[in-house]
Amino acid sequence: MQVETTRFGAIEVPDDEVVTFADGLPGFAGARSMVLLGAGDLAGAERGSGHHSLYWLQDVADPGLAFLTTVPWAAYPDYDIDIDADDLGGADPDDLCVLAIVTVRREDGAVRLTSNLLAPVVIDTRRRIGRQLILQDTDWPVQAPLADSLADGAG
Amino acid sequence: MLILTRRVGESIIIGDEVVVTVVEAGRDQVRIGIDAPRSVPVHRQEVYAAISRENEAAREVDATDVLTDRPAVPATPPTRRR
Repeated sequence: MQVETTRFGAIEVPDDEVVTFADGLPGFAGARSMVLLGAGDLAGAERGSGHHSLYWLQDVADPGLAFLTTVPWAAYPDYDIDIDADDLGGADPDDLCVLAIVTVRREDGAVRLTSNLLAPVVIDTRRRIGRQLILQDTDWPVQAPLADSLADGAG
Repeated sequence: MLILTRRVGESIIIGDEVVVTVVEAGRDQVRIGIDAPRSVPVHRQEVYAAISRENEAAREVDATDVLTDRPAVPATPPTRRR
């Protein structure tokens, strides 16, 4: 299928790569069909140390709706979450991938990136079902610093 | 808003499957137990609102200068490690 995006134009995505979010995302109840697009790495990140894997979570129906996400283990090695497979309708844990939504804030010319570790996006890659979980009884922050002071876009 | 008076140990049922029980009542707070299917998300309202706000902030992201590559192709992230 052809997915229209405001950021990257039209992108061809195999039908079976669409991920269904039955409930949408908090604040975006209509975001029910999403695709994952590779987003490369952070500028200035050194491979092997500060190397982040980034993906866009792009809404199929709204070309302007996309979330930058990161695989959290690279930046937060201690990140450890307990996912109940029943949260995704009885998924096989080996099929799950976990992504943290990244927020980019610009303040006084500086760029501040944070990851939402309290509400990870969990995707069953086999059945293509996704859900943004809100973790209970944990202290993982909504705005965990990901990288600071990338204002000059080094790299 | 429907307002009901309940004693500790008493419940209300919402729909067929969601049961809310008053577990403990103090001066300014109550402990509430909720029995609901896993498919029904239950959250503290202020936490849900905070996640909604953060999602709203995240969707505005202009990342052109913080990413190395021009994205284009569908990709599947690695599955969970543990």
